[in-house]
Amino acid sequence: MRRVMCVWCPLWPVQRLHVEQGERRSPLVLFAESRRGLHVTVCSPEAARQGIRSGMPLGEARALLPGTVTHRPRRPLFKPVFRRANPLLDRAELQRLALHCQRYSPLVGLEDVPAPESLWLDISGNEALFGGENGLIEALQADLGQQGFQARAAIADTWGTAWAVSHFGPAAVSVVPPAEQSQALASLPVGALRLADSVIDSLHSLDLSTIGRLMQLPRTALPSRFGTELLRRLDQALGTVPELLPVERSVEPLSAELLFEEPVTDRQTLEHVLGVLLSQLLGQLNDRRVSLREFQCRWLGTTTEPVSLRLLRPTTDRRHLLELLRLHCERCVFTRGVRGVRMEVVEMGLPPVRQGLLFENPADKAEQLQRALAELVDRLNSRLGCQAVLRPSLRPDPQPEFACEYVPWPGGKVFPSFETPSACRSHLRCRPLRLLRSPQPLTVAGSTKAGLPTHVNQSSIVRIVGPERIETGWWRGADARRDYYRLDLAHGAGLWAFVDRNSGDWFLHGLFV
Amino acid sequence: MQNNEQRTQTLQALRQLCRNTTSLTPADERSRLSTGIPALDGLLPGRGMEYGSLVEWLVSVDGSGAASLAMQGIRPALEHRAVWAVVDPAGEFYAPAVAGWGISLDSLLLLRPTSIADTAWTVEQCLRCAAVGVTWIQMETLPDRVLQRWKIAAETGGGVGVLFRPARTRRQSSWADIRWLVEPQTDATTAGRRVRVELVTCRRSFAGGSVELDVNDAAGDVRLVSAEADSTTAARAAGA
Repeated sequence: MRRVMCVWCPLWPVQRLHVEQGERRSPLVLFAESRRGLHVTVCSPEAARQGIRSGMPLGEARALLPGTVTHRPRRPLFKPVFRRANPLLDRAELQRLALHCQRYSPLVGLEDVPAPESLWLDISGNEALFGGENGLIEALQADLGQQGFQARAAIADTWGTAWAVSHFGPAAVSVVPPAEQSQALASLPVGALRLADSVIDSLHSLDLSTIGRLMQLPRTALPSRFGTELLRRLDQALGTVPELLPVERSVEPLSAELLFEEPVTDRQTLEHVLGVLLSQLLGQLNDRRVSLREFQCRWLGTTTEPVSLRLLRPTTDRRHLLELLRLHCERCVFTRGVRGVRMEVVEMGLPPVRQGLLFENPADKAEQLQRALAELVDRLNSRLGCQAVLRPSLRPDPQPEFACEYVPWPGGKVFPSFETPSACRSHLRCRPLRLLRSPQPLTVAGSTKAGLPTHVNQSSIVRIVGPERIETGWWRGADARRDYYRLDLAHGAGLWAFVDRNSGDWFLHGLFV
Repeated sequence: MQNNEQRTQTLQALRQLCRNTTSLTPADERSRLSTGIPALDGLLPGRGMEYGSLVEWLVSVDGSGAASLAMQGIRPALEHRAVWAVVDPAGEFYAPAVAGWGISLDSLLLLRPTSIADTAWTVEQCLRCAAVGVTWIQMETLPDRVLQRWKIAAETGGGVGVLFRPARTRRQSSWADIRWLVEPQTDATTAGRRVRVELVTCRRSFAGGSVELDVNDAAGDVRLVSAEADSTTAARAAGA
């Protein structure tokens, strides 16, 4: 007889971040961007107590959680934390947890929804190893608790019932006896059947609030009134219709290792060994018909930092990979002899599909250019580091130094770039191509009728264009109150300067190079 | 008398020889890359730059507008290859100004090396890459050997290297195919800035031509300053 366990980690994205930060008391609000702008996706119970709700505009949430929140007097202050939601990382971390749970069952998986929060485990026959089903469920919950996660778990004959009882059951840990799904489900609300909100609303409007009342209705009338989904979910929960569950499988790690008889310091020898290990690793990848996306090279017997390489595109090009390794090794400092080298695959990718054609195809040329660019970025990353290979992304901030954000190229756009409408372009064209890292003080002299200077740094001004008034940044602390001018000097230089309206001092901020 | 005729014929023959050397076929002209400024294109053989060229802008004053002139050529270059690599060791390149010129920031690859050796290596890698249309670099001191390597890299990659150097390096030898000298002109009557651009060096052609241009950053255009009419002709017509 099949037995299934559901492990639900409520507010999984919040729990994940709390465990990462090690701080549980800070009100945490996660937000995402949509057509309506930034809105809250999920929040911690501390934030919910302040009135934050999912779907709320972020600005409204910020207003409800201003500055700091004091729980008790003479206690540390807990600043509210606003973070951009990262569903991919949430899923990846839940997958890691699923693989961890393979010690309780060989068949473990994530619930099949876009933002999963639950794990399923097929525990058929495993309970004897833990002293029964109660022993198994308690051991698992204690294990997750040690990792800092709070979970609710339930065991039943079907995944649907286990899910319903874990989410809506009275206890944090429940075991539904075999063949008693109907009794366990009867008292639970209809939302426990994993239905769409519109169907649940329709059921509530007819005063069908529990599954028990729903099961009393004639089955033939349900599909025409509420759609086929309702009957399918009910049958899945009762076990009359099977439900397919995707399994998470841990992949055998790919690695290659070579140990030396004596510690080696010669770089040429190490480079040769890297070439040999890389060939072995690529051979293993070729057997699986996959490409290399990220790998790590460890220097055994030394404290030298391991070489980590993440590629822009998956590849199996040995020449390219060896070149990247050489670029990294140039920067490595070996304090003592290397006793061995170990190369491990961290992430694999699908190999690029190449369809050979008889005649030249424009798409082929575009693909070649893309490949050349990816190889260039990989090389630049290897030598300069990813913090030096950047892509600009405009932000809708009027303060010039905050109007652009530079993000590493491989990560692409962390935030979607602010689209510049054509009306803004001429405005941006008045910006200089060179902006100083910090405004430099200017010495001005003379005064026109308008109160503007006639000389700057002992050079006469032939033309002044402006002002462009910028008042912003009050939420960053010091309020930026500036009047920007373009100053054309007699010797031909074009300056972008501003007068600070707080102090009246002039500063050079950019050059029209 | 005969000597004079022979001299004239010899000069004509030499002129024709020079024209044959520098003139290009229509196919060659199509394969040229525009500077984005017709007046500057007119000074170049084939009305444009060759692919794989190294272009040097000699700047007499910091902030004279040479970059605004060079920016005009970015868009034509990116039509063929979509990546514009900006090597910015100082970390002062301001990308929003680029968006103002109508160039997509998606095409911008901004590189910030921290040492001179890394900068030279980075520029060479970008010039050698077939996907990069323009490599943009501002450096004051450069060993001659580095420029030679960049030139070879540009020829290999087929993109264009745009280099900004101080005007005092004009007398130094350079491996650049085209060298422009930008000198600001004082004229408070125009809306923008007036600069004089001189073609200092042009490989496989004669240098020496110059034009005066009005650069209007706000409008985003560069216009040729029309030459003033000869006042003596008008005076003669008036019978003076």
